[in-house]
Amino acid sequence: MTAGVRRIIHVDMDAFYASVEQRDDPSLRGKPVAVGGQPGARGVVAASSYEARVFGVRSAMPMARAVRLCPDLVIVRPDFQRYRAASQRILDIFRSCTPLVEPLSLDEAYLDVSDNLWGETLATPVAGRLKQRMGEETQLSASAGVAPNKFLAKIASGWQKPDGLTVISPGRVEAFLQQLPVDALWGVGPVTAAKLRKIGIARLVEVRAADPELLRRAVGGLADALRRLAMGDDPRPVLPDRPYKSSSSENTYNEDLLDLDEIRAEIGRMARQTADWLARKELLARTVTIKVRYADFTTVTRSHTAAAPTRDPDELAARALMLLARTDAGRRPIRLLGAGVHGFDGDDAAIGFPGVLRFED
Amino acid sequence: MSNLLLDLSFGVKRSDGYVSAIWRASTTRLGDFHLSTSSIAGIEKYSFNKSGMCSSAHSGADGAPGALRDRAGFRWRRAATPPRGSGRAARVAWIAFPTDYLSRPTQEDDGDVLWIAAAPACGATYVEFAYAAEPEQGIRGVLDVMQDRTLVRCAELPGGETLVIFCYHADWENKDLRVPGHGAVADVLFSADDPLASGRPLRHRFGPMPKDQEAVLLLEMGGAAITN
Repeated sequence: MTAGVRRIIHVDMDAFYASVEQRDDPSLRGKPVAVGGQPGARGVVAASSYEARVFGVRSAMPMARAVRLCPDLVIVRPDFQRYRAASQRILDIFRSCTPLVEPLSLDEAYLDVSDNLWGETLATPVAGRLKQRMGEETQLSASAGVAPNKFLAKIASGWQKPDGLTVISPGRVEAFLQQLPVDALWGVGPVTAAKLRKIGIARLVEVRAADPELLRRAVGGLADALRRLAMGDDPRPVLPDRPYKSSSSENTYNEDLLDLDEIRAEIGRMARQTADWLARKELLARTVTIKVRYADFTTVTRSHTAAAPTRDPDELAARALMLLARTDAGRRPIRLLGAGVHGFDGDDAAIGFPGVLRFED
Repeated sequence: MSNLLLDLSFGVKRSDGYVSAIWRASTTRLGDFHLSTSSIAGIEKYSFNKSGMCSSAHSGADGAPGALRDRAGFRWRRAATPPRGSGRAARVAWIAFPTDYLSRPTQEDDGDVLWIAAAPACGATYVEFAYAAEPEQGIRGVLDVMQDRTLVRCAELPGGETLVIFCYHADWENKDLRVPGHGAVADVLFSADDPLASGRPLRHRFGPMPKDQEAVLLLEMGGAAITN
């Protein structure tokens, strides 16, 4: 028999940054809005309103391309102070219902409402009340997924957007899983999905019948997590104080970098930044990862895992530079560089789950 | 002397009196388990034989429907019962009864039916049937850990197996469903709002074709015939 039925809600705010901007500036309402940097400065879209999405404007897209797609796009500089304030207000609403709130970012969180302070026995009415209160108290809308575990709740919240509420009852889990492409999962981006397709896996449920060795060779450490998720099994609890899983930083440059010394200096600086972060958090990391995006937008990542965890800045920088030598840095122009760490000491179960550094795709 | 070790009539009932169809769960001295319900379309029956082979059948009041040569619908093999001491059971069937699709009762309660309390609105009551190799006490221990599951009934079967019936409440997304009659018969509307104030007199069951090693999953909803 399985464990008791848990009642998990995943709440994902709708176009959060753009919605805050439209809320606070009535002149933006009904207009295509993108929050991010200016196109001339190689800005990237951090968030776009639904009016902008109609034109194909998406997060992480270069702003210059967004403007080409939507010439009337209103570009707004991000104001994280206001986003954090709105996020805090929303978290307060969540915590009035349950202490088991796990924020994933400013605009999404998990809640375990199996036992809740509102006295509701089911999660669906809780999700409905949360949405209503968010609307009344913050004038922001969200989409929610209700399911017996985090994996299903997260996918459900994206099923009907904006302002949706999708419920996956235990009896509907299998039908839901049958619909999912394998890249619906965290950690499975285009590259991993391509590897899986190569061994005949296009849908998540096809993982169940896959040869274990073939699967392991295709996706490495992700194999076990994939197999569990393909059965709809995700026992992870909602952790109100979720431990850090990774830290990374990246930068898009106004002009392409070609000078190898300059590129090495940048990567070294980023690696030392992560060492500072590790020191502040009193953490040690085993894995260093770098990301390089060339001028033609092809992107590569390189990782190195050491047996012993560290936060020594020189060691981390040296390993990042060693990884850089395995790229075309200095031979091809580069528009973006990133460096990060993960595999923190005592953290052996992170692979394949959210929060893990996801540079690959 | 009855040939049945267990003979249970059960259904799901809301506090305002709205009910599911009445189901019957029975086990024979040979170790077979049968689950059935009746409707205006006849009797719907699921049999789980001691051998592990299972079958579904639909029959009219006078036997097999005329259009069917064999009254059996599907055949499949159920999952094996986990070994004693594993603390696990093999689920063979589960039925979901969404609360907002229960029906206004059409007959007097004769007192022989075990009515399971329905989940609150926007919920569903699940009734599950599983085979365990544990004795009843062990099963109660497992269910105690799974706080929200309630043991409905246990029946010890020949060969050391126990049939366990338990229930719990879970979330449900209410969505209207209209099943077209294609002009031959009236469409049937399944609606939580019941716009015709019909009381949803037609109880229907939906579910995928059972497969080997998998449990039968049924969704029972009440609907009403509509003519336009």
